Amino acid sequence: MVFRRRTAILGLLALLPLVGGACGERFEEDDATGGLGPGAPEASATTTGPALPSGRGRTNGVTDDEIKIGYLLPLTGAAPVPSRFDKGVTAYWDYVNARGGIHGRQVTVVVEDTESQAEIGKDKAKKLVEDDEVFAVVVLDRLENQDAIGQYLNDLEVPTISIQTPADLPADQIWNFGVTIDHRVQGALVADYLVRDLGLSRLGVIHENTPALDPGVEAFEAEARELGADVVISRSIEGQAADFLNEALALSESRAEAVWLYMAPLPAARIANQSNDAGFHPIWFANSISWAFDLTFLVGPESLEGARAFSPWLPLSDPRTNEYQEQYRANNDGETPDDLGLVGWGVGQIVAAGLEAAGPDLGQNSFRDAMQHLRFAPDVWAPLDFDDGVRQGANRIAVLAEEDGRWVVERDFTSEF
Amino acid sequence: MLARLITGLTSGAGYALVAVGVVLVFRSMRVLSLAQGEIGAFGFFVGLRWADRGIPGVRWHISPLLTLVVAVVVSMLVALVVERFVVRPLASRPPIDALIATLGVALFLALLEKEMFGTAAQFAPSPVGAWKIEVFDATLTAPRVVAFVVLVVVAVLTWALFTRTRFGLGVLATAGDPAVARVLGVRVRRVYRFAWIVAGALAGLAAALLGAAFGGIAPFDMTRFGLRALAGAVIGGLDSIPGAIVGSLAVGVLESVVGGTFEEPGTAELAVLVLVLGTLLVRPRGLLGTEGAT
Repeated sequence: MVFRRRTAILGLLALLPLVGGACGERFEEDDATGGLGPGAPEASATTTGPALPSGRGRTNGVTDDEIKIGYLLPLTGAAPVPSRFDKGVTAYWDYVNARGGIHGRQVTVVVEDTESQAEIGKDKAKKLVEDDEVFAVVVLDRLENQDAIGQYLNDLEVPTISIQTPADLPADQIWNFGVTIDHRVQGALVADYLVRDLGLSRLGVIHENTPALDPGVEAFEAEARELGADVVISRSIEGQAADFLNEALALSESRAEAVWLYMAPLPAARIANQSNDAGFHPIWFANSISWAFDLTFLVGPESLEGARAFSPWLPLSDPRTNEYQEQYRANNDGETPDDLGLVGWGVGQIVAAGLEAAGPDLGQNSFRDAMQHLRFAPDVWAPLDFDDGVRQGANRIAVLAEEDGRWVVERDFTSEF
Repeated sequence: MLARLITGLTSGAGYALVAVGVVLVFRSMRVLSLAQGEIGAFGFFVGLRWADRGIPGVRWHISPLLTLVVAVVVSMLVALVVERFVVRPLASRPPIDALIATLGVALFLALLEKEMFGTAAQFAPSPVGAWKIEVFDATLTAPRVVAFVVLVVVAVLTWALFTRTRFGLGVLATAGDPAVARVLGVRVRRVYRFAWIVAGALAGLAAALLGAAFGGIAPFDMTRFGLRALAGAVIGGLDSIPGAIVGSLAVGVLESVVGGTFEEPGTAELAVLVLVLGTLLVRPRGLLGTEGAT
């Protein structure tokens, strides 16, 4: 009897991870700044925050011959980015350093793994600031994790470059700069593109179950309605799930002409594959920071044919990325570059532009001020237009289309459809 | 609804292949293995790698069908290693020791997969063709159909093994009391090896078929599927192969029907958990398990 109970308890304990899958992750929504109206990117320019610091400021991580930059990346955990991302980072800074660095200073990087968890990300941020004494931090993670890390670094008054830009970047986060399109603005633009450009009227959206994505979904639905289109299916999924047969059947029944898969690459490819198996193949749509990477086509080679995407950076097929590709190969023994490394390269260009603009008298205040007024068009990235009160600098995207298993530019950087 | 029920049965068939292995191991050694799913996944990852980059040294890119064969063979070998070097040394220890050890094996294999094959998911082309059939409005792809057919074959073979062969009776005797089985001339270690090898082969089959059915495979995926298989085994009875099959099919159907009825993510998993809890509270031995066996 004792053995029976024990075995039963052990079995129950072993099944507990199912509960994790059932409950999902819950985060409080941040509504600190009020909302931008759907399709109204200009509204972000009017956000105001606390008084801005002036003067040179602290010089942590800066010496006469070195600038130390920290990177927080989800290298492991639930939603990891392949290590080729930080190879792109290294390739860029090696390229810069070989040309004399920034105002004579060599740039070194310290990369830490957030393990795809907000709390670990904050611990690693603390390490970067206190132990490594970095000058500024670049953060990429799931949106909700990145928000939490960004807030933490902002409280420490450390300049932070967030690769994802959440909807309504809080006005009090004056140290935090987003370098991709605001998720709420993007949601409205997705509807604009599908309805106005492609002439579709039956749209769908499937998104991961996290409140951080809700503003984007709401903006998409509102804009679609405004344009007279029907959102015939809108569902959320658990990103870690594998069996999406129910979603595939529901999509098939919806007869949507285009479906925005607002999620990571693996569930997106799986939904496309399982929908394809069920005989359903709409135009699948990606927002770039989700799955508009060439590697996604390796998981769904047939089912993702004809897919479209918004991207804040160019695809590898564009010749403007050649310099990155050459440097990547040179840095990594001829290894084939990919578009994950390209993101590392592109964000490096943005940080370098901020450092250059801050001038030789570099401090955290002067860098923050330089970023705040940065107007810069990187080679591989959407043009940035920061200004007083605006820290979402890239509300433009390139439209990409699938062609022979890779992304190509359909339309260059724009914010209008 | 009927379409969801039918597709749920085919998902359940995949879980059942793993669950039969879990029960075989439990019946022979009284060890609850949490490693079965990832053992199968590792074998399938090796097959996919050889299909993509060729067999090292030979550079022969194997066909999708051979990825399934490689998955089965490699999983059998991994299972054999786990039995010999991890589980057997713990055979005389409390059952929780072996359970934790198999959890460690699952984590180790998943991390090894990440290291060897990368964190990104691998596209898993169907090893059994790209054909489909329509059954009562349900479109069933080849891997789903084959999983169900293989499950039927496995059910018949295991029934024959345990009722028609001396070796099968030896397995049952070992499950009852290994010491007595030894006295009766049963080669107990051989029974242990047999159970793990068959369980490994079934896990490899399941990984190849589920991976293809679900449109790709990533590290830790099969651990999650393995937990569904374990849920099926608990519901059906940890010492009953028919129970594991029935329980796993029930899990597949429940997931499909509840997931299709309620849009909220996680509802299907919650329903499975409720069923497991209900089973443990009302009938701890499971639907078809033996009283006192667990």
